[in-house]
Amino acid sequence: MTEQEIAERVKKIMVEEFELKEEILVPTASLYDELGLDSLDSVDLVVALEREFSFKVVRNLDEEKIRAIRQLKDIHEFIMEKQKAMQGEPK
Amino acid sequence: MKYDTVVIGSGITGLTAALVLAQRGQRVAIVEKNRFAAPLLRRFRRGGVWCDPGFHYSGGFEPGGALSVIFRYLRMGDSIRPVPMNADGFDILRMGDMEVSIPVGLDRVEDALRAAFPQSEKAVRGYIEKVNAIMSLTPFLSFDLDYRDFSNNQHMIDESLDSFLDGLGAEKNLKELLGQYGQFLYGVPGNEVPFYIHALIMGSFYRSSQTLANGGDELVDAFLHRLDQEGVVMFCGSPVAGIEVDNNRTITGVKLGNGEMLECGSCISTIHPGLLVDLLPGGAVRPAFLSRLRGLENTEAAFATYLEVDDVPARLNDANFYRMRHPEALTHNSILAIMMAGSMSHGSRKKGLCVLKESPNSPISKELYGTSRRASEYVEYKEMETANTVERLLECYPEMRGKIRVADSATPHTYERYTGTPGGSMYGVKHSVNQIKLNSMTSIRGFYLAGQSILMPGIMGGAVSGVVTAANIIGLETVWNEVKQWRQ
Ligand SMILES: Cc1cc2nc3c(=O)[nH]c(=O)nc-3n(C[C@H](O)[C@H](O)[C@H](O)COP(=O)(O)OP(=O)(O)OC[C@H]3O[C@@H](n4cnc5c(N)ncnc54)[C@H](O)[C@@H]3O)c2cc1C
Repeated sequence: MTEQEIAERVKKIMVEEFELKEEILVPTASLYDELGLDSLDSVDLVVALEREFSFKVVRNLDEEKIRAIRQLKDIHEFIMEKQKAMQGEPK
Repeated sequence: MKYDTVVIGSGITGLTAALVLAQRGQRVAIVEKNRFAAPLLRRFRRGGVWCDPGFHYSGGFEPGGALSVIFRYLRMGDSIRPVPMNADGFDILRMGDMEVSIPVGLDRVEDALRAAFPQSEKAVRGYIEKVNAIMSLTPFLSFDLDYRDFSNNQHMIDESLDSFLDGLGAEKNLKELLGQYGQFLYGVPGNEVPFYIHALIMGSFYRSSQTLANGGDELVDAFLHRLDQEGVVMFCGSPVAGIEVDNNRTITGVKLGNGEMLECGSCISTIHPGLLVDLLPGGAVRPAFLSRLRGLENTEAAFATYLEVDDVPARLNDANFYRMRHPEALTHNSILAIMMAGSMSHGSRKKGLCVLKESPNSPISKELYGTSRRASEYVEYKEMETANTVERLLECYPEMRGKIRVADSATPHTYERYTGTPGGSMYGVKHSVNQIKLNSMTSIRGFYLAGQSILMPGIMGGAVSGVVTAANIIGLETVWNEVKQWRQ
């Protein structure tokens, strides 16, 4: 999946699952200040991403990375990384 | 009249939470959809024996144990009198030709496992050591801790039981045995259960497993008496049909199926969280939260068969017997658990036994069960499963042939009907490395989640969840310091 495709699907989640307006969903939008998500939302977001992109977050492995997510584009990067890791895994 | 807190559901979690709050002066109401409280705890009588739906034995009843301290703190210590099980083997586990008896005490469990798995001696030691370590870091399993330790979750690592045991070099059958044993007691297979959940639940059973002479009734009666003393109002017979939330996403009340409104300042829901999808008003939470609730994966259900017996095989008087799946066997691919006879026979002249069988997939659809419970397919299914259970019991105890009569059985559908828990799932939501834990706090101010699906399954998990959630409302530090005083 290209970054563009990922961005589109993340945007769709933000609109449908978090009821955010499409026009504010720019890559540099800050999740907490500008998009108004809180810490409870961020867990629901992780679950929604897991489902959409068919990966599992591993707490000890991913916790730091998730905590470092600030802007929409950080999510895209995180997913790209997860997907890369998954491709490396034996089927 | 406005309540400080309304508790939804009168299982062990709801009863506990309500009493903690009422003891601290809150005006509390409990809403239960059934006409009576605690459907999983309340016994019923069939054919002259007492049948326990959802409580047979538990850890934590020993002096200083989680349940005993909580019940003393709730001033019910005198009405609950645990009965010890066989200290040399309260659970007898059979897998293939191997039989292992689990004795009381972690040191002795270590010895028993080492004797059964001499090649995995080191793994067994490492396993017991880690179980001990995790318990000592967990409030309620250790009362030495400070209230600040509640937020320490360093030991709650997301490693599955299987992968932890692999790391210790445990042999396959040891892994299999511990995995299945645990699975029956918390509903999650070894490759999915986070090791710390396994450690907390199994460690409590290892420390001391006990039962109650009057089964779950002993708990319900003690609670109802104390709740009445503290002025808690019980609404039974009408379900919560809606949760009322204002424009600031703050809870204002709950609406009952009969139209009655109960206003409240806060609310604790102890029902299966998936059921909230139909109870939360539009706009109160984000669609993402609802999607998450809809997608929750549950533990499997059990099929319970209650028997009247002429004679109880001696060892089943004070021990449970587990017939595990054999890793290589093609048949008998569900765990069978024969629960000790003790409480079923107590106070009645006849002797009883309860046999539980893992029952992952009932062929009966919800619609079929819902429309006409006596539909012939359902009756047929129930009879077949009952007969199969009895056959498997007789394989384990052939001497019982001709000496047992079926008193009743409860299918996963029966459990679902009474508790609302989807599929009649035995322990609610799966605590799995593949599923992120739900938080007790929600984005609705004053609305909390509690119970087996949130913290931990079982009577002990529910009671602890009830105390912790009530403490979140009235102050963790105060409640914990009070609870701790009852440890001696
Ligand atoms: C067959 C079986 C055997 C078990 N054996 C043991 C055992 O030996 N030891 C042990 O520790 N644990 C055992 N368990 C597990 C234990 O029973 C549960 O983990 C525990 O009772 C759960 O308590 P709870 O309060 O979280 O949930 P519940 O007891 O399910 O409480 C939820 C309550 O909410 C009510 N409710 C649902 N919807 C609504 C609504 N809309 N409005 C109002 N009320 C509603 C339900 O009727 C129910 O009373 C067993 C479970 C099963 C199924």
